[in-house]
Amino acid sequence: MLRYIIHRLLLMLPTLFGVAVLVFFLLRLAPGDPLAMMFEGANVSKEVIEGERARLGLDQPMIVQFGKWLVGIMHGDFGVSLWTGRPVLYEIGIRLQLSLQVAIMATILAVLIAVPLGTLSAIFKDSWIDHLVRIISIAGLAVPSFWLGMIIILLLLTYFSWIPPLTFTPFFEDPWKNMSQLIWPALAVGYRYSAVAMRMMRSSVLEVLQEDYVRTARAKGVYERLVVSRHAMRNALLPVVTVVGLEFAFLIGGLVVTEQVFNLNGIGKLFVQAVARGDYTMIQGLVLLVAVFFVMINFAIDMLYALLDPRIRYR
Amino acid sequence: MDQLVENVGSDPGREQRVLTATGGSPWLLEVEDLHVHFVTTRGVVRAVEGISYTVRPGEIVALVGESGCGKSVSSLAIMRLLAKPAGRVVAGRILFEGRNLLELSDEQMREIRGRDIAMIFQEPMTSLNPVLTIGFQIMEPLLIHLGMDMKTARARAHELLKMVGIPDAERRLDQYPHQFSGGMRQRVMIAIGLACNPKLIIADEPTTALDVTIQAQILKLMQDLSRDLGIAMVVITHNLGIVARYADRVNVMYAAKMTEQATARELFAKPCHPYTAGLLRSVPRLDRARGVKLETIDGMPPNLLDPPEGCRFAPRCLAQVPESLCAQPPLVEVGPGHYSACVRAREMARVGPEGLGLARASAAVAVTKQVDRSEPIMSVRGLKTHFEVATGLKALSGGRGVVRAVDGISFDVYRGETLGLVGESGCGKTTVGRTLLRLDNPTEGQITFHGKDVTRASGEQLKQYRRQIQVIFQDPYSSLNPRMTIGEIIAEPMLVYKLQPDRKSAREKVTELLTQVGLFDYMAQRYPHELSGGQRQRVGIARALAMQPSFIVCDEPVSALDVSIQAQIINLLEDLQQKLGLTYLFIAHDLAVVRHISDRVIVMYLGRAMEIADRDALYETPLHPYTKALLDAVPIPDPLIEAQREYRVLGGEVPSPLNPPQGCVFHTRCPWASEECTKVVPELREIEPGHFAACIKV
Repeated sequence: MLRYIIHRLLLMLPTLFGVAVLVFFLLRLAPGDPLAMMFEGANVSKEVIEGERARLGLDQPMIVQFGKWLVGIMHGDFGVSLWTGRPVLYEIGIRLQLSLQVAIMATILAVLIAVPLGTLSAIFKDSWIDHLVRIISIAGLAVPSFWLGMIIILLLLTYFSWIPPLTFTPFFEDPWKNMSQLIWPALAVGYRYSAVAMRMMRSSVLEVLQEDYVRTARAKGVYERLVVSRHAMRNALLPVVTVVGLEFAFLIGGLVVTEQVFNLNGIGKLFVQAVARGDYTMIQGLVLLVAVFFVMINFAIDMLYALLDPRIRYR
Repeated sequence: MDQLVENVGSDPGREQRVLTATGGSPWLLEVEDLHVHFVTTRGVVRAVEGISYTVRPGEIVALVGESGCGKSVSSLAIMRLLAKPAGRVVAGRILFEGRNLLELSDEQMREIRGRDIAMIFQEPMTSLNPVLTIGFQIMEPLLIHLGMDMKTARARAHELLKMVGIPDAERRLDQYPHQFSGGMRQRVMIAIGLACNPKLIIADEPTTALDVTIQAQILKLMQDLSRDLGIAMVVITHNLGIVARYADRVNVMYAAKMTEQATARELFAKPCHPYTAGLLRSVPRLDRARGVKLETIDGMPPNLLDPPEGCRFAPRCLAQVPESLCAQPPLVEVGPGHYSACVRAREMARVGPEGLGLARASAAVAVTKQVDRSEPIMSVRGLKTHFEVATGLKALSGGRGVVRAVDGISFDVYRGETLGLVGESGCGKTTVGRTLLRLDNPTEGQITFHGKDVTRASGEQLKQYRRQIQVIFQDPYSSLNPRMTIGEIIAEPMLVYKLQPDRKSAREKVTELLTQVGLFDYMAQRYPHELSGGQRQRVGIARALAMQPSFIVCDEPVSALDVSIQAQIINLLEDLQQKLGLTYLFIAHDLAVVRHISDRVIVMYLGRAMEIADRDALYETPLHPYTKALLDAVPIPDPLIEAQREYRVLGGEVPSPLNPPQGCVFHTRCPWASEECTKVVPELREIEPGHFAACIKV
């Protein structure tokens, strides 16, 4: 098992290297010069710009820049932001806590909504319960989460004359304040995210209920609720785990609009800013970060699979 | 129904014992006039129409019929496990110990399931929950029905596992289903069924998915348990041999109706329904001289969405009388406890099936086909096909296992003959076929076809070779592309190989081929799902013939088909062979089928040939202990013969080809095995002219 984990971790390196190569060179192939963006509209001489370029090391051949960047990464140095001058890791670090928390909360909410509702929907297939759940999930797919976010804020404002706190409070400082701020974006995102998982759960449970072993369980005289919870659901969760896991990784970097609506200073916002500013080092750092998350979560899903399904044992 | 109750059997003492046991009624289970309907989008399928049967305590009753006759549906109805909401019981009563199960509440019914009535299903591979331990799955009914605590339940589960013959039970309790073989899983299913000491076990095709030797083990186990523990059993099966070996009484179903009921002895000795007679005749048997042709029941069972008026079997019946007479025949008594739903039942009881003209000329003993053995069409020398297996992760660490699917086999095939290849699942017989077709690549050895070495043929040479060697696959359901019409499927290879200049001539050829395999030309426009299993297998044959091959590998071509359809396909294959001068490699696990169709037979075990001989020599004087065991394991559809037969059930299971035993691969299960067998790898030796066996004791 340990051997397997080490193998998997080592296998991540080539993947991440590939991502690094791609993002580095694609960025430089794309049109737009970061220095031109930096000094746009400002009346500065060409010498100043070139001086700045030399200071940032952008005048060197691409391959040299790449090499330096890689060496830096090996030492845990992702460089400094071209725009703010602060280390990339620092910029990401202060925002990661928030983004990660929203992502985790959204995932938990999504699972809490999707698993029971999807299961109910499957058990009471074609009844009013099923139709209701279908409406809920299709609405979740159809409604953009930023819109839902705005509606949530409006509702809170109109009916309770309250809006969530605007500045981020870390969880361990004041959990209550922290939650009261982040629960709303998590809800807006989690609801949408639950919609896919709900449909998945429904079809998965429906499929499993047709399995021979469910019939065996019934033939043994097992209580119907145990047939569902003990025999069907654990088997039905497997495909849902994949969907939920991949979505989770996506949430880390993909909450751009929701962060805007709730005025959260998270990774998504940083991403947009970095792209708009042509902040090469920042973009590279962020893309690598998201890639690491994807790979790690994929790995976690595989581990979870082994936990759920005894047929999968890694050596 | 009344007539059944009148006739409670000839043993009044037994009747009395039974009466006291069940509180008034002599029956443990009475199914009365049961009707089950399935509501589908295409209409109402009347899956079971008015069947009645009874089971005494401790008795083994068989329910026999072909697929779709309603035998499984009726047993699911007893358990009230019909698929909801489509399936429902629309009429009838199911009395279990005098209580009508259909009137119980869901909760009352749940209490009965698993405690009083247990069920064993057909598919051991999918009937156990993959994420729960075996131990827990056995303990579950104990915890629920008997209120045992975990410790007592575990002790009982341990005892049950030992009872069904699983070694090392304590450790096995904590394992998961995937760590068990099919036969072992079926034993676990039996253990679950036995857990609460039920009064009745319903076994739905309990051994259909298993190999013959394992089948014999499981049936023996069930029979012993039934006798020792006094559990009544309803065995649902299509295999008449099983019925003959194990059942006390038999109910034959056809197209949702009961056609005949009798004791096993009576039914086999004196069938009083043309369908039963036809079924008995269309099964190739090991104990009878081989007929020129298998007798068949022509046609197909009716569509239950729109069944014919009158007798369901009339359209296929050779003893049919004018239709008005065949209208809805009721079950009539033709002898003590013997009922038949045929208007001519009494006549048949008097004069026998022959008297009604049911026997055909084909019963004549076959003349052995003359095969020119001067030069083989195909010759195989030292063929080995190994597969490297590495589960993605193992591949990284470099650890690889080698499956020795085929491990050194040599044989010749002569023009115009049928070479049978038999063995249990996992013995490598299918891999031999696939390697000859070059679908798998041989690891070692040589394949010569028409004198040319095709072992490593590639490009144009391989293309040429493949045109001459074709295949018919086992599963007619998944081997035809569902998105293509039958016409397109048959025409495709001809167009790819440019055997026909254009689509028009290909279409003509398709029509010709369809007629040749006994289908109609309008079927070219149909899609595979619109055809029955037998018709699809005919399409598979037509597709193979389209290439005008000289050699066809038939890989289990009839094992997915019902008995009456199976005989039709076998006859078709034989006709085609005669007409077109084809050579067959016939791969199958059914020894009787192989005996019927083959000229010579190879018996395989774990990738090696155990015995090669002419058909008659092999079946009459088998030399190798494995061949003997295989032949012993096959039940013969005649209770009288079965009762006298002394057969030895071969214990154990086929070892993994990943790690085959040292020495003779069969020594782990061989009744003759000695110390020497574990060391010496026996060579295939010619013991008698043309009769080879790989055993040092022969």
